[in-house]
Amino acid sequence: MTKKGARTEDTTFSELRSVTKTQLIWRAFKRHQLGIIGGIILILLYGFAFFAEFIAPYSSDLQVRGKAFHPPTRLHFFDEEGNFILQPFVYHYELVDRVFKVYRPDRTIKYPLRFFVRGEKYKFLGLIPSDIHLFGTKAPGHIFLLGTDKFGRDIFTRLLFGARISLSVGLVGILVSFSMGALIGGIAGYYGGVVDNLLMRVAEMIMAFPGFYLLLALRALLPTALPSTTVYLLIVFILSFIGWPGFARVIRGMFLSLREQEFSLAAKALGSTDLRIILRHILPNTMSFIIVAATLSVPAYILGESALSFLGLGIQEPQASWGNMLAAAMNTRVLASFPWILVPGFFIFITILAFNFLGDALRDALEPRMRTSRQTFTG
Amino acid sequence: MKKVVNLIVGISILLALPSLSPARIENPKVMEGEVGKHGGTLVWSVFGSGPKTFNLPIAQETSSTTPLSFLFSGLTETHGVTTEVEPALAESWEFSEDGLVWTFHLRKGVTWFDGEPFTADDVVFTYNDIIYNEDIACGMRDLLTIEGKRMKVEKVDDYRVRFTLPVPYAPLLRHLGTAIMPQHVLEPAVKKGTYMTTWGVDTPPHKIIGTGPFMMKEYLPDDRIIFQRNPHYWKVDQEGNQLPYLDGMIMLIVPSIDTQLLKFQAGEIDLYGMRGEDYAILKPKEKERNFTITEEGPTFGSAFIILNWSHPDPIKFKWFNNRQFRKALAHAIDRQTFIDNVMYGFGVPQWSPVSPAVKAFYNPEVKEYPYDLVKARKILQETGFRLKTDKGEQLIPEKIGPWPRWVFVLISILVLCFLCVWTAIRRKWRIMIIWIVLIGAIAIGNYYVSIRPVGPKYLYGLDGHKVEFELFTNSGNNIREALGILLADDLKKLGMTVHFRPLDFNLLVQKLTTKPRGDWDAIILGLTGGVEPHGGANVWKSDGGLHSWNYDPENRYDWEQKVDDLFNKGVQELDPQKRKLIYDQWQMNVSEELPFLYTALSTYLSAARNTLKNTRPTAYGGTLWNVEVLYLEKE
Amino acid sequence: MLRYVVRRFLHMIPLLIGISFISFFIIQLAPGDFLTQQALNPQVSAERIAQERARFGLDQPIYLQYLIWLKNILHLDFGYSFAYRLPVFTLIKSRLYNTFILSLSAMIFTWVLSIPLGILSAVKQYSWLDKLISVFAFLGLAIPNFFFALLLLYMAMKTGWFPVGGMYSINYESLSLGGKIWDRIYYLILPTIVLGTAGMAGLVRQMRGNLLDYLKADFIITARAKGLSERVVILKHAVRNAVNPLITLFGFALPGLLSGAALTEIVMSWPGLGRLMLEAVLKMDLYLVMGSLIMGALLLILGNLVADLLLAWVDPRIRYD
Repeated sequence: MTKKGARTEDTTFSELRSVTKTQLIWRAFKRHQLGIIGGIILILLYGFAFFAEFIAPYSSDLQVRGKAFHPPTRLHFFDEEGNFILQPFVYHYELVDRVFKVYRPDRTIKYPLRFFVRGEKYKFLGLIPSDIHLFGTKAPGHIFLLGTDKFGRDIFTRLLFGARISLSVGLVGILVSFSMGALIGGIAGYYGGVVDNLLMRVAEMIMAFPGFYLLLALRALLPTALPSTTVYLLIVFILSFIGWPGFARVIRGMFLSLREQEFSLAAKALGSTDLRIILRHILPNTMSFIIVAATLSVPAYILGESALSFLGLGIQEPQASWGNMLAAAMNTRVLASFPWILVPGFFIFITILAFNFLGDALRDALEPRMRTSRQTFTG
Repeated sequence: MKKVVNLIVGISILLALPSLSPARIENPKVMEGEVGKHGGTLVWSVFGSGPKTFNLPIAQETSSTTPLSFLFSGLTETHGVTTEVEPALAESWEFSEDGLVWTFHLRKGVTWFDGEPFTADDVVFTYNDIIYNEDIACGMRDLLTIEGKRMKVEKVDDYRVRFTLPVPYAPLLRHLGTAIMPQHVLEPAVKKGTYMTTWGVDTPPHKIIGTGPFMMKEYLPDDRIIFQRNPHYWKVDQEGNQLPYLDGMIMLIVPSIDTQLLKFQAGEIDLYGMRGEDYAILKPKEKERNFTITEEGPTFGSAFIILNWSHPDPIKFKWFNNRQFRKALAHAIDRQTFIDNVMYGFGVPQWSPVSPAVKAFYNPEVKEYPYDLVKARKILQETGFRLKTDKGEQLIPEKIGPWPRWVFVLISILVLCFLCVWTAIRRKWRIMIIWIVLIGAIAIGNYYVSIRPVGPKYLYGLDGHKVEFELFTNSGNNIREALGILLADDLKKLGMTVHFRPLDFNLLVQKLTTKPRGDWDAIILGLTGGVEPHGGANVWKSDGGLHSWNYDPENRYDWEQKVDDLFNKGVQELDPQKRKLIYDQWQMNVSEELPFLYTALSTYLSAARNTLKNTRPTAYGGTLWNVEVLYLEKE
Repeated sequence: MLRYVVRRFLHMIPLLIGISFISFFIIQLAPGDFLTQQALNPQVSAERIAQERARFGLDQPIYLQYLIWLKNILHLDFGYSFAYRLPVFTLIKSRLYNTFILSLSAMIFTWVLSIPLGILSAVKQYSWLDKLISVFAFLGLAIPNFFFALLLLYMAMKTGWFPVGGMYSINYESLSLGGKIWDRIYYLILPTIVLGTAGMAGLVRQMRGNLLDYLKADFIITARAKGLSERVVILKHAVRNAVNPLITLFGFALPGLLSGAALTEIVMSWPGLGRLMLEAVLKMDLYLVMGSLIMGALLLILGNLVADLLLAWVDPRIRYD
């Protein structure tokens, strides 16, 4: 499929250099500016999620009781006289109206923004204990970059912790559904015949299930005594159990054609075992499709989690996920008075766009000839 | 808005014709309220799904009972403002000295929608053949079964019915508000045994026959019910004009509260039962959009925490049965924050099982447990609970053998430095990097081990067990979930480890109703409540089906016995003054023993267009309790 | 052709049995049943619940319940809904029509918009227009449906351009025929946008990809060489071929719309099947759930069949034997 030594037109004989496959892919990828932007956004988002404890100024369930529905705190670089101050500061906000939840900055009290402050204790990734946060203010002051919710919890902090869940839902999900899909599709495609027929009927059956409703039924089955992270993993497993058949069908099709290609026939003639042929010869050829399809199917998991949360069946409070944060914002009052609570929706939006653009770019780059293979794949 | 007016005119022309026929009711009930004008269609909405059945006696959900309540009437009815029982289909009644024999005089000239007269036969049929029929799953049967026995319901003559009770029953009159069903329509179904499937939602709506102010004209599944005025209704206004004033009503079925709110704002519906959070949206628009918001004091639905007194685990059994422990918990409920942030300011703290809205029975003297963590901590201390600091388990102890840890760290770093220099001399750069990395790792590791945070303080019981339990509620109920999040956070401040978990409702019910010893710790629940205190008998009597905190008959307290007695006495006491004293005592007992840790009641809020006159919204009856006298002033 | 259709129908039978079998048991695995919640109603005694349970046949072993249900299906009896005490079929029928209207209009919306956008995007590959179309197509996909619905309703309330949810006007009955039709369309617009945009991204990208493939094909080069105008080359030759694979997608779209529609139906208060089914699942109204599931599966299978037949009709190269 790939030809080594394809030469670019402007190479002279003196600097003869072959272009590797990686370079070719990279060149095709670079043409896709939206894809690059998507990739950068994703790297940033995952990075932020990874360092959530450090970047977030508070812990995800810290409730500041008197500061519910606090608007985003503004950072000021200029004091009242208009002098520029290098170290930005925030004003203290006063609750003026309890019913309407109106806050007004009190210009007499200011707290400078500090970096690498000592704050709440945490264990980074559950392992390394520390109490250093990237930024914060001195004790009585609070900094809510994106405001607070109805419990007075910092939205920015919860967004970071929620990202851990929401961004990994997709990754874990595709890992499960794709390994299942690749295995089953591979077996069906490679062996064909009765096995193929049987497996494909099972796949059709699962595809014909209205997965969403079954998910509701299954959700009630989960044991209650489990910590919410385990429950969350189980949900992902259920989601991916419904997700594998579409993918398995494509893989099966690819296996069907690949096993008849010369290289697999040759390998067979040389006495390779089935397993070896599958692992060494056929699977690598489907790799680029798998990568692309995986990228494009992550959003479905993120959306699935948010839909479950809307029904009160997703990740449970007090643990944060973008889905349950958005579900809590599903409210006209929020829309009208506290728009900052909608921020998770914006991030879901951005992430899904980023994944799709990245997927598109990857597809153009990795397999320019397999564009049509997406038809059978539905998120 | 203009469109709505047009349509109101249109429908009023269509519907105005039947109202011309004269009323034949001998002694119609006269309703208070200013004299209004006939005509107009009121549009309102209900939250959730559509009706499940058109058969009122077997209807269980409010989605069915709400629309059907306009079609039927009972012998008595409850006034929406005073919550007193008033005559309805029965215009008067008298009872024997011992309160056992009641005779009801029926209103003469009342007709069913199809023109058949309403008589004593219908009443006898409703009670004997429907409510007391074992083959029919009727919700009222349990309420009208007194001490396990049925009332005897007999016809005296066409317009008189006699009820004979086994023992005096104070809530009788209120419960006789049960809808009376038409014998001439339903008798065949009862005889054939198909009553349970008659009048399903596939029945043509105009075939549902009642005596209420409105009849059903059309039902569009899950979308709307269109009501039409009953021209022969048995109520008139003060000038003797036939009621209801409205020509019709349209009830929209809206499955999302927010959509309801938006519809109200857009002028598509005329009434809206508000949530606290809607106040800030609607209040500024009151003038511009021509509606009025009414705030009408606390509602009836409670939210509370119950602990499992008959816990199978002996340790938790001890905590939850300890009154002081429960007291501390009661002091740890931040009701003000709950009201301010979850109810958006529209709520009142609750201390008694009776809502302050029930003026006839509410006891304002009950014990209160305001939010006070210091006090809660003190109570726990006095009861023998201790706060202990959990030292985070140290991977490497401070001292290894006789030497402190830093000696080892220093020696190993020195050795590594030496190795580093050695490899540098021999120009083995790659190996040197390993030594440098190791030095770094040891230095950082030592730093982290030494600043390893001292663990938080945890609460321990007398017997040295850490106080740790699970708090459940049904998932999807935002208010209860919010309460759980708040409470878990406050209990954490007391040193308790509380795992808050919203559960599937079915699962929760199963846990809660396991007898005699349910395997759960604490649950946030609610009860709908009502005006009649005896409605809670099933909860408060120790053999009641919902005495869920303590089903175990071997774990009975004196006060539970006392409450049993009070309920038995209260239900037979016909003098309202004495009856109140009995239930006062019960409220006092509950507030002292704290089987339920009450939180807060929401305040009743509603919004109605100013064009709708005669409205008197109340927490008990909503806006539509006096629907007969509501009328629309054309803009 | 007829033989093919018959064979496809025969294939359906084991598939449906399999689906119903698995669904039945999964639903039964969940804790409690339809009557469990009644236990918390102070007005309902425990004996009454037991009595009702026996009436519904819920006290029998699960496999027996399934077999009885299966036997009744053969007589086209889908069972009774516990909550409504009505035949499941009656309940589904009245909502199916509404859902069908919504799905159909959403589908038309998606296809009418996506194909031209896809063509445009392919013809102007890598241009700003291409990127703009990409972003636009993904808008609907990237916002969770339920949230998008609320946003649109909020906008409708603010501007007054559209009705705030529902399916007809209050005065629907008094309208003229033309007025009625317009009224229906008027109320359909917002839910159609919500559901329609969700499927757009896939179709646009698909159309773009297919067309790009065909634009490089030999017969296009030949057509160009013949001196045909670019318009004719693209529309007559390339697009016709590129649309073919999309038809298979059509078959999958219907049940997808069905489950996606539930949340939209709730927010937009559209009286459809999704709403009924969601409620049935949450309440464990067993036979209503089963009936709706079977209906959904049937739709999927029929959709696939129609798609295959359409494909054969559009593309003469495909033959079924």
